[in-house]
Amino acid sequence: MKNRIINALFHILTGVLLAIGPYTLFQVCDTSEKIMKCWWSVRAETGIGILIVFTGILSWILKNKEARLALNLNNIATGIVAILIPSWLIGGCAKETMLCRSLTFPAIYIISMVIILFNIGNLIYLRKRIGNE
Amino acid sequence: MKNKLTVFDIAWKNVKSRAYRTGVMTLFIFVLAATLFTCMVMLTSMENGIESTSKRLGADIVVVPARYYSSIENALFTGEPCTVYFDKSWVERLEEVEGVESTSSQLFLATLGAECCESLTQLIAFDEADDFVVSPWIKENTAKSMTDSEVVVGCDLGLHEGEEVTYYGVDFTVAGVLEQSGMGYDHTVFVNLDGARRIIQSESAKNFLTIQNDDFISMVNLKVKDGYDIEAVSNAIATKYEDIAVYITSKMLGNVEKDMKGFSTYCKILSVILVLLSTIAVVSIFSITINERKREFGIFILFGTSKKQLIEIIVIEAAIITVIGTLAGIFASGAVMLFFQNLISANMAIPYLELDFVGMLVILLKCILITLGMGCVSTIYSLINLGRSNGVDLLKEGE
Amino acid sequence: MLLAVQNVSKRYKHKDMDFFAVKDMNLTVDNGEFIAICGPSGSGKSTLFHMISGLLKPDSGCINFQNQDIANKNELEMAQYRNAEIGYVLQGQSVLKNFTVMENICMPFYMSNHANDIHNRALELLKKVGMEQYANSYPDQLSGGEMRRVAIARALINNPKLIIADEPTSNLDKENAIYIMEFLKQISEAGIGVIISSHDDLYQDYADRVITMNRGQINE
Repeated sequence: MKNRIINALFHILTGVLLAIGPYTLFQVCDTSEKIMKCWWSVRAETGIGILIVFTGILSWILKNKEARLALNLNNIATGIVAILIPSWLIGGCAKETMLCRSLTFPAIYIISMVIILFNIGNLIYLRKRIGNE
Repeated sequence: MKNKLTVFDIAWKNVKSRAYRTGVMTLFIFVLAATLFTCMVMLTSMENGIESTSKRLGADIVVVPARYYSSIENALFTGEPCTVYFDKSWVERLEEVEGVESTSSQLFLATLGAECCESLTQLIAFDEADDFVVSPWIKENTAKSMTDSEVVVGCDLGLHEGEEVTYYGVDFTVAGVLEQSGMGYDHTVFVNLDGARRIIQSESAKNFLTIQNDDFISMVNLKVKDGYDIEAVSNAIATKYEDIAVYITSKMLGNVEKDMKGFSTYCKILSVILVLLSTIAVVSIFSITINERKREFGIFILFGTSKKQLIEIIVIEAAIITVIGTLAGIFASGAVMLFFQNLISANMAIPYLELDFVGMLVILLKCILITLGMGCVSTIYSLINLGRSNGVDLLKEGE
Repeated sequence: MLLAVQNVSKRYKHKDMDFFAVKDMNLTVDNGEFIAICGPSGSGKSTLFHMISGLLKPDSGCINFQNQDIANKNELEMAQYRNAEIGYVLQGQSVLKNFTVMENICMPFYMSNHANDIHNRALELLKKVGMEQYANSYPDQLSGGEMRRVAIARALINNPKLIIADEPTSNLDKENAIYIMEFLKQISEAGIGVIISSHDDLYQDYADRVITMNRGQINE
């Protein structure tokens, strides 16, 4: 039960951060005159964030450990995609001092890495619990 | 099962079994290590930035249009674009001042950086014939002279050698990317006077730039003759001419160094306070934990563990917690500084030169030494008490 | 002669008053002898045991183990003596809760200088105390009686010459108490000296010799 609650809270929090952080806490460049690549990147991140929130809810509902293990694997892949969107798949501004490159994308990378590490840790934990049963 | 548990294995199991307390102690050390590492990296980077800037400035005296000192300072140290101008004839007038050995001028233009980005980039035009500020540096990085359709760019602009760029509708090729300097030049595009002329004469520039020809300059750099006092020459210029501002470059840096000293003092005080607080916290938690385990130690002594072995176990426990906390703190701090390095250097009002691998390694080792020292200190009180106790006293605790 | 305690005394100071915890104590133990020491609380049994095991130094007299005075040993030698020659079963709970049953039993071996594989011997001891199915369990999964058996197995791991058991049956039910006493008897029959202290009358059925202590002295 404790594991399910911690998983749910963690993924809901990080998912929300990914979804709305780039519009609030760590905003991208202003798009008043022109929509730039970074804007599309963070739109894609909003989708990723929603997925992460959804897996958080699922990990609370699902009691089965194997199912939650699969969710962890899925989240690791999602975290990797979250990193690839701004770094390769879509990208952002060329200049390193632009907000997207200096603030938004680094924040996304850190949140994504935390998601990946958390899910790897939980994977190891669940495998041990399944092994002991 | 492993053939023989070593004192390290025993210490590791003890640490794992007290997850909450281990976590709390590790957290204190994590915060300490992260703060120490961040402060040291920032301070060293700033020192390197100032040293680099001092080398790069080249000139003894800088003359700019009056009232535009802070714009020039920002342009030089942080690369914030500035567009201030005065007449080119000032170069000849300043050359005539007694004590002036040579002059070189620079023209500051600001331009849109790239198609996508709506922010200004500093463009500096210089005369290759008499320049002694940027030319030597550019020559270090690109062996040949620049043509009028070439630019050399600072390392933070995200441009590569051979890339095509356009400023005010005028095409240029990137002839080279300069090494990091830690100052505003990292965000600057350098063009020679012929290239600058092409820009000023373009249709787009006419709508944007306030100058219409190349009879203007933004800054004059002066070198003072040997044997002449720089301050005296500077005062002579300031006395002789109005409408200009005269600055001694070493004093410009002096202000920057003063700001850095303030930051450095703040960091040092913060670090000392954190080391003290963390030590007190870890010593307290460790002492309480050791105290509660007296009977356990008595049992160890009873079946023939020497005090030396017992001390090894305790010291290794402290070392495990310290090393984990330190590495985690340094990793977290390093990751944040690495990812946000552009934000940090953009927001620093002080030149900032990122550390190389060796520099980072030296700081990492210093942090580990400080935290390990703290970890050892946290065990001393407990170990002294343990050394004084005999097995019977230890066994009686918890009865 | 395995152990010879000769005119041993131990003095303590309490509120400016001197008192003898043990006074002019004489005791001998042979290989394979099972001795029970009984007496009220505070009669000096534990202090005697602490001196025999080298945790305390007597104020007078000498303790010879295999004809060697143990008083001359330094701290390291004393630790080695306790590790190799003595198996001590402490009163109450003495199993290390961070380690498995197997690790607990092997712990005195881990603290020794020996390098050989102790695993088989530990398993053998676990079987003898009827605990082989608990090898990988932790103490918090065991009952009081089971933990006492583990403590006894641990005391035997380094093939000691003498077992000292302070109240080995305290807080145990009758079944477990009998099991422990039977086991200690088997140990003594295998040639290992056994000294126990006990309030439990069970010792009368097992001990070769019973000694009564009161106020630090033997009651004849």
